[in-house]
Amino acid sequence: METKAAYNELPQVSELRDYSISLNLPNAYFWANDDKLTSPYKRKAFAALECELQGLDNEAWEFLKGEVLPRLRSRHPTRGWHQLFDTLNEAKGYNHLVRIGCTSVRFIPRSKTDNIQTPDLRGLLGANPILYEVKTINVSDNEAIRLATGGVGETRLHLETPFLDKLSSVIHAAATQLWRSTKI
Amino acid sequence: MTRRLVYVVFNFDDRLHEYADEYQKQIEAFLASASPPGVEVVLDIKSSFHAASLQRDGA
Repeated sequence: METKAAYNELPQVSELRDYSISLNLPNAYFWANDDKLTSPYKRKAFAALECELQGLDNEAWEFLKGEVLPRLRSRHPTRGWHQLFDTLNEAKGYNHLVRIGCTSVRFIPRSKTDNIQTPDLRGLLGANPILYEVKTINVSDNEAIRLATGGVGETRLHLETPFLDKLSSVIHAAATQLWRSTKI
Repeated sequence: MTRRLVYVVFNFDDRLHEYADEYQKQIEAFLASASPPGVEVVLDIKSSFHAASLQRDGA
């Protein structure tokens, strides 16, 4: 696929790509000579991302873009651009709220006060306010190192205790965050 | 009454989602007893753009 066609079909992803290229930094996610949007295999994932971004209204897209742009240059040594994608996953949360019938769905700006973490989103379901937090559980440390250095992967039939402990920790942290945010 | 939801996106080591259905059953069983009260948990098991996050090459 030609780059121009990719830009037409993936306009919001292309906006991110253009910004990334303009940084001209080795740790930027997109480069001018990459094939992320033109290779059929790679493009599939970005088409899925574009689909999520298309679900945002203008205000939500502008907000999320403001959160995402700085993360286009934030590369972890073994986990790559996970912060970028953790943030982009918030679009999935927005779309989920819309799908279940929420109105007035909005991203919540981050608190400027230390030690106070605001939820990611809010909305209304009927008369009930909704507070919403999006969390991402990424690949294990072992897998992250394997992806960064190469090697043979290992897939397990069942999730093990450390994973479930991490899941529990993530959900309880989110719950605490949501219950502390009664005044939003 | 305010409802509180947590949406959890899973990027498993099993990037091809070969065992995702098994994992989902295990997670649902785990959360049935481990979820905090007053919070609804939504699972995104087969993340649609997980592969993009794994692309590390600049070209």
